[in-house]
Amino acid sequence: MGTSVLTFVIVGHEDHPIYEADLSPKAADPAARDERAQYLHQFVLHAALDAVEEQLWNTTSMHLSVVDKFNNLLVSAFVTAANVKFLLLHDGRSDDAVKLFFKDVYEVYLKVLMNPFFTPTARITSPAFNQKVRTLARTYFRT
Amino acid sequence: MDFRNYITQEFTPVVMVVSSPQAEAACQQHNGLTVVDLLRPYGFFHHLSVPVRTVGDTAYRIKEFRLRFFASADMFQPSQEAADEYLKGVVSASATEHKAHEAQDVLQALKKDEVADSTPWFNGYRKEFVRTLAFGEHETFDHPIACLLVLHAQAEDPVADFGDLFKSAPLPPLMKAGLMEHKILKHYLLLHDDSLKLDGSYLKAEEKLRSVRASLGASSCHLARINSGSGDPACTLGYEGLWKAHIRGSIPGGGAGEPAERPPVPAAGLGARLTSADVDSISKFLEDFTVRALLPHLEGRVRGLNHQVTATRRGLRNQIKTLLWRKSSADSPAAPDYHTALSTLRLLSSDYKIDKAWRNYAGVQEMLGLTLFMTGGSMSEAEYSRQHGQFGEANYALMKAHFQEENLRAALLLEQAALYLLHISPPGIRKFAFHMVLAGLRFNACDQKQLGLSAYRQVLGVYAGRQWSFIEEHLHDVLGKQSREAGDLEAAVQHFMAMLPCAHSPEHWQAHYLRQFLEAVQQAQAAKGELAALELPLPSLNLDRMTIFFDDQVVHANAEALKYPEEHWRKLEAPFLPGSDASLSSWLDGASRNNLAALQCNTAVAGETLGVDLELANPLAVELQLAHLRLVYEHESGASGGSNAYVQVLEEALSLKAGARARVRLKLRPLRPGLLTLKGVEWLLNGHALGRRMFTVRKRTHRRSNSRLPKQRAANHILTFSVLPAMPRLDVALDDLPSRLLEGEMHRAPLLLRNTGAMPLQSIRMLISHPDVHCNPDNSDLGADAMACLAGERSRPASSSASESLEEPGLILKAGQQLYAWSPGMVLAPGQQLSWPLWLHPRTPGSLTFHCTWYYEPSGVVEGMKHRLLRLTQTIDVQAALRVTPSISICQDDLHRCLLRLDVENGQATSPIALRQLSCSGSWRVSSLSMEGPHGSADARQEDEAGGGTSLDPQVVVAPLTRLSLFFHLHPPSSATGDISAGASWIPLANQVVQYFKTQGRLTRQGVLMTRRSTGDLLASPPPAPLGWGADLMLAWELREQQAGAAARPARLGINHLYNCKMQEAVPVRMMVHGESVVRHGFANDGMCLVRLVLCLRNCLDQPASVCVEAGAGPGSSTLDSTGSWCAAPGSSALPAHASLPAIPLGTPGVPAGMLATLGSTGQPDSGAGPLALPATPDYVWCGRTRANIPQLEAGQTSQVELQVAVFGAGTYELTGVGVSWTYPDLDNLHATKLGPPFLVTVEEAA
Repeated sequence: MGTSVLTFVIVGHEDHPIYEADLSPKAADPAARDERAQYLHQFVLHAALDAVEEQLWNTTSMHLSVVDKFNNLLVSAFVTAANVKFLLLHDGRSDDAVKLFFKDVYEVYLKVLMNPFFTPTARITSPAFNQKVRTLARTYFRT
Repeated sequence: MDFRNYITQEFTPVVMVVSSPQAEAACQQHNGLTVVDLLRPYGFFHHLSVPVRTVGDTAYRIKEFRLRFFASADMFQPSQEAADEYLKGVVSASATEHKAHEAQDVLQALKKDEVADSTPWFNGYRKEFVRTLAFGEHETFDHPIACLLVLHAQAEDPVADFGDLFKSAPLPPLMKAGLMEHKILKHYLLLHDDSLKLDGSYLKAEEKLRSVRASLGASSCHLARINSGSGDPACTLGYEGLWKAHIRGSIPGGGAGEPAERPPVPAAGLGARLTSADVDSISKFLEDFTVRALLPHLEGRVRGLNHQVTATRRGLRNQIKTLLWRKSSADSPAAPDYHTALSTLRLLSSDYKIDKAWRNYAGVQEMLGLTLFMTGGSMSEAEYSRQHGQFGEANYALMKAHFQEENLRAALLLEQAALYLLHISPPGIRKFAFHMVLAGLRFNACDQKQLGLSAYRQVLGVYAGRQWSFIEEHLHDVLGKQSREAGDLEAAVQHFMAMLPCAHSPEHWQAHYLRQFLEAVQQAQAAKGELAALELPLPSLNLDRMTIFFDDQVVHANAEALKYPEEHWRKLEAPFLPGSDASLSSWLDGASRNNLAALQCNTAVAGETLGVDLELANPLAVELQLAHLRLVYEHESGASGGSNAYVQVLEEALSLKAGARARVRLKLRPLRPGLLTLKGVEWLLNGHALGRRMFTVRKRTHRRSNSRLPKQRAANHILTFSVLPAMPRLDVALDDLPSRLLEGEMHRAPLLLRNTGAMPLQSIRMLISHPDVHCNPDNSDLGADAMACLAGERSRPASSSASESLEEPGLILKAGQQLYAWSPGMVLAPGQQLSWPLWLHPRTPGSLTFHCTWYYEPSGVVEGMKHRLLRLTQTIDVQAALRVTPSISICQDDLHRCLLRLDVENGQATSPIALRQLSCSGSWRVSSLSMEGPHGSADARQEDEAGGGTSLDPQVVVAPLTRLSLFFHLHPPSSATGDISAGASWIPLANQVVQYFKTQGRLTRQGVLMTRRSTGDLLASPPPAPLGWGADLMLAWELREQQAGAAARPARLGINHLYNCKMQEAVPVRMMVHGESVVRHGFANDGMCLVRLVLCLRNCLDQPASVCVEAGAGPGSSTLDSTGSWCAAPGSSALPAHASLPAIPLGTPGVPAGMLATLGSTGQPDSGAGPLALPATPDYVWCGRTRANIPQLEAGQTSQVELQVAVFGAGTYELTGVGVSWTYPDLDNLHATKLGPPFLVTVEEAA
């Protein structure tokens, strides 16, 4: 997987992304980052929101698995009770791994949420959260 | 368009038209129409009723029928390239026509429910695209079922010519390939051209018709008459629209049913020479043709084919025929036939599949689909889905379709797919947006800029403001570039501007975007002249943190003063402004105040500066240059923009480094009275782009709310100022005020008051809030240094010309506030200044915050303002310097003096403090005694004559962070005190400043004590007042900072006041024993030596007492609690140290009082033992008069009692056992007993 894609976004209210992270192994290397791809990823993720809202009604679980795809890019989604959406753009990770990843990120997210100074519409800027998400990604996706 | 209609309209039988050149010419020359054009409008029959019976037994009636006409020469498929080229043209023409670039935002369209099913250019494209696909190899929709041969009526031999015409006619591809039978229905038409004006020609034509009919069949030959009109534009039929509707665009190279070039349009328009009679003859001919020839022919054909199919069932041979049959059967618009067709087609498809004739198979499948649709079956074709509301599937089909297509088609399909998404409920706006962006990309790739622009514009609203940074960046980038190419520079500027806040991008992109934006701005400026100011996002302004500074009735001298709330100042200023106390206001005042508030503006004074503090930040990694940063305003007179006669605008310029933040105060000076509103800020970014940001009026901007209306003043009105005419204005400068002072330091800071206004002012009053700050009543000693001010006599002339004095010097108000008033007659002209010394004397470490406020009035009458106020707040750090702890004890060798011990600790870490002077208040005096401590060698010169104090000379220096003790004698006030005159550096207690601080300190101290007492903290030990003795001490010191090169700095002078210093133990009656300390006596002669002692007693209280002295007896009890001991001194040379003596109790319980002598136990000293081992020897006896009564000892009086003691050997004796008891009858019989002081006496053997 030379050019694996792994982008994680938390979308809050009114479709505002409150957290974005490129979790692919190449993300650490800024020179390797493909800017065009970043545009495309955002577009695909944003477009997938429609699909997420459609799929919401088909299941009672928070994890929606793959909701949308564009060419070879898949979008998996997880929706919290407050209708905050976790989206993961990937190129065919196992659904189990994605599910576990979402579940663990959700735990971390809840901790952020419990911060009395955090408003759910604000961007998540906590470096600890960022670090934990990246660790989880490494654990589950071996990036 | 309804798809069912579409099918019935488009998939109709085709008639091939072969016309002779003469006939064409006759038609084209005058009308601009080809023969085909002429026929087409009349190919639709809707009032038919033709009975048809095909497969089944029942007949049905055909009510409507359509025919399509094509010239045989044009019946071929155009080349791919030509077709694509043509289609491009179609799309761009359609886009221009429908103003694609003005597409509105999709969200608004969605709100208004104005979303179209499909875009006009897509419809146009589809129509033309289908046409270019006609006459393909595998399909027969467009294969002719009949051939119409057209000859000019002038032809010599019509029959032969008709034959030639058919033979020479170019055939459609399928016929050429031999797949189609050549034998199709033929029909013959003679065209009579009236414009030739030949007499009787029509008759001749009719004759020819007859001959033709005779040879070719009566029903298949017709004559039509055209060009009977004059060609005059005035009498045309007005059918131009009719003709035009059926003319389709020509493809270069021809084909697809249209000629490569169209005949020129005559001046009078299309069909210029046609009359209604001509048109009627054509229409009549076509109807005849259809009803009489075509339909019966088709009916027979279908029936025959069906028979063939059912008979032979399958086999390749059927192929051609069935194709033909399929054609006709599909064309039959009646429902029963669709079913027939369907079954047959299914049969066929399996045939083709087996035969591996894929192309044909596909064709059949397609046909199947169509047929199925017409019969109402299900089908997943996109169009069909759309028709049935399944937009989602339609989208899916189109998305799938677009991948392999070339750009334009893909773009159109994508766009269409996107549109369908909007029709899903709920609308899939975000997916729509994505598809539109993809479509836009494809459009751009195939050079359809308009459509690309339109696609992007529509979706901008979906993404805008959602913080999907990359998406927005991409959209604006593309839109900006396209707008620039399209010449819409302003739009380009707007889009490039939207890209500027791109902190997430790498630095080189940021720089690139900025450059791109500035270039666009320059281009736009070059094209259109000056641009209007833009709402630039750079730098980012935080308008919430905007602060407005202005001076109305109240002027704040420094920023710190602004931090205190209005109420605080109102309270302070209450003495100036009687009756303005806020607490006294009632609802009755409300009306007038509301009126004031209704003016909705602040007050400012002409000529004085208004300031707005703004916070600017540069979010980028690129440096920004801001120039001409200034406020935007609007004056009542209409003036705005830069500086003019009404307003002077002060511009700022600064450069913001990457990521930097700056706080800038923008200033503006109104010059004339009127109403002034601050509107926003303007700046020039990097020298090119003019940015502007308006203040939002709703937002709360902090300001110190003015005076009495803090609440009524609605925050949103504060940007408006009512500018008053010029006023006086007092400015204050506190020069030489250090940021830190030492605890107890006496610092003088010159206070400089200056009138910077435009009018003279008068009636200055000042209020100082803190007791540690004081103002001199006059300003005469400003010139001298601080020391000189404090010390020395007031030797200066009382009425020096330079000095002014306060009318009301230092009226002390509650809580240490001081009010000063200058003479009302004193006028401070503009520019004039007044300096005054201000004394600071901080007394507690920490910080000293004090407020000063000034009141003044303009000397003339100014409407709107009777007085003004100036406020100043200063905070000074106070560092601990000298800690002094006094302790006073009685002096053992004097009945009057006391011993004062000062423990002095230097709290400074680096600088030594030199003690200069110790003064004592009242008539007590201090004299130096000796000193112990690390600098014990310092010699203290006693200056008793200096009255209340002593100066330490050379000064005692306390090293940093050390402590030492000083000892002094305190002399009671009995001795007369002279006036104080101890040189220049002597600080008299009577100095006004010193006196003030001393009093204030005492007040503060008492205040503290009182509060403590009230809280019950310190209930423990309030000493009884009569016993207390309190002296107030003042210790003056100076500190010279030891810094290299800073020698010029004057010493810092400080004073510590010690209040109410008391003796540690208060003794009502002081006593002292006098006597000879060495007595010589010849014990050889006389075994007993009498030593005489005098006990002096002094009543220290202010009440008379009765005193009783008893020697050798316990004072009132049988136990002596003091020790009496003696020490034999064999060598009688030195007195052993007291501490080494063992304590031996004297006397035993039960010894009766009144015994003459107290005898100790007798014992012999151990041989060879030291002095410690010596046994106590009670070898002295009080004798003589051992009890004395002084019934009345007056207050302060001294009395003496003589005592005798008998000693029986040489040695040193400590004589104790004198008990003194006293009673104060007037003080509630205060009674106490105390042992008198021990007295040492040495008795020597006389030689």
